[in-house]
Amino acid sequence: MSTQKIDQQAELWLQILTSEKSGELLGAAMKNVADNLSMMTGREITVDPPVLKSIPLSELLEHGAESPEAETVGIYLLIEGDLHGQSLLIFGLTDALYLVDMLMGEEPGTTQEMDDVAQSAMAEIGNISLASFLNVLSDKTGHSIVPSPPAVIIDMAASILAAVAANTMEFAADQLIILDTAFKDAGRVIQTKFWVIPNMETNIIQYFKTK
Amino acid sequence: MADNVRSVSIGQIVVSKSAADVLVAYGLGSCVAVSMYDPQRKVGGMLHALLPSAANKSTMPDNPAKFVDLGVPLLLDEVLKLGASRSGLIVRLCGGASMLTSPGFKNTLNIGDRNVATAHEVLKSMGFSIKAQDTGGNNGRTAKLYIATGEMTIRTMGQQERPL
Repeated sequence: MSTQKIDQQAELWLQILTSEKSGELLGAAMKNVADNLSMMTGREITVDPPVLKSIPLSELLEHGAESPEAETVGIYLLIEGDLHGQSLLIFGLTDALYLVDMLMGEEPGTTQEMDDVAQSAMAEIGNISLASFLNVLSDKTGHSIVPSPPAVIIDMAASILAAVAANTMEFAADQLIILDTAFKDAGRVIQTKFWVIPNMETNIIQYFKTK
Repeated sequence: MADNVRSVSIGQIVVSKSAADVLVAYGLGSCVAVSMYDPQRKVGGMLHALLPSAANKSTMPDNPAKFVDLGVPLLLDEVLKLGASRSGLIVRLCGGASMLTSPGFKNTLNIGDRNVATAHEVLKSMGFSIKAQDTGGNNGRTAKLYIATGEMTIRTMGQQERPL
């Protein structure tokens, strides 16, 4: 990738994540995600205000899961087009099974394992979430920004997070820049983390003011 | 004696000669764990590496143990410092799974495979042969090295711990 292309992407990420209008832009994007997920699940889904974080590699696990071997469902997508990055939705296995039941209109407890149908449903959740988020960014910035097809991974939390870190770390130093939020349903039964991770050259990270 | 679990996180090297210690790399996805153990002196160590090699080689990275090619020699240094004998070392390798696979999803980075390939190259260039390995596939693994015995075990999600 040429230096010019990288700089353009970095500028666009900076515009989206750290400019004066960022709060408004990201708020609108997350609201779109919440609205579409609510429609899809028939539940009232709320979204936490997104927070931009710079997470050292050594702390990645504690930000993403309660324990490294926790059975976790991750929905992983790439951000493509005029912007490159990754996105990850993280569910505990129990929450994921509950969500599948909600989507299928089944009684909670019906789905006992993440079979092909369940994984397909989760993939769709990932698709809708990231597409809803990126559509608002696209509209507001005038750029083409689209999600890749999703990968659904069911495994220990640490292995999912490490795989994401590896893809990011090819570009960066020991920090991940993460836009971090969580979705909850009104009954607080499901809690999922939604991460948007820009692809960053090491020297770009310094421009991000993070909390 | 009760096990003293010592976690080996991403980019870490942990070495020990304490019989109570168990070195554990949890949830290796595309990461690899390289272990070295001297059965005579009961000294062992584990490296948990994330990437095959540093992209920019002109300067030493902040955390070289994050990289297989830099981390393996450092692991050797650390176990030797603790009193291991190079000629007696048993070397084992685990991890390097392809985690991000799904129909329609193209992940071309193949970090798991590259980590394993680099580990093989580096160990061979250092004159080591790999006694046992559990690598590849699509599942995360937890790897444990028991310092008291040198036994190494692997666990995947939903399965029991089993010897490597």
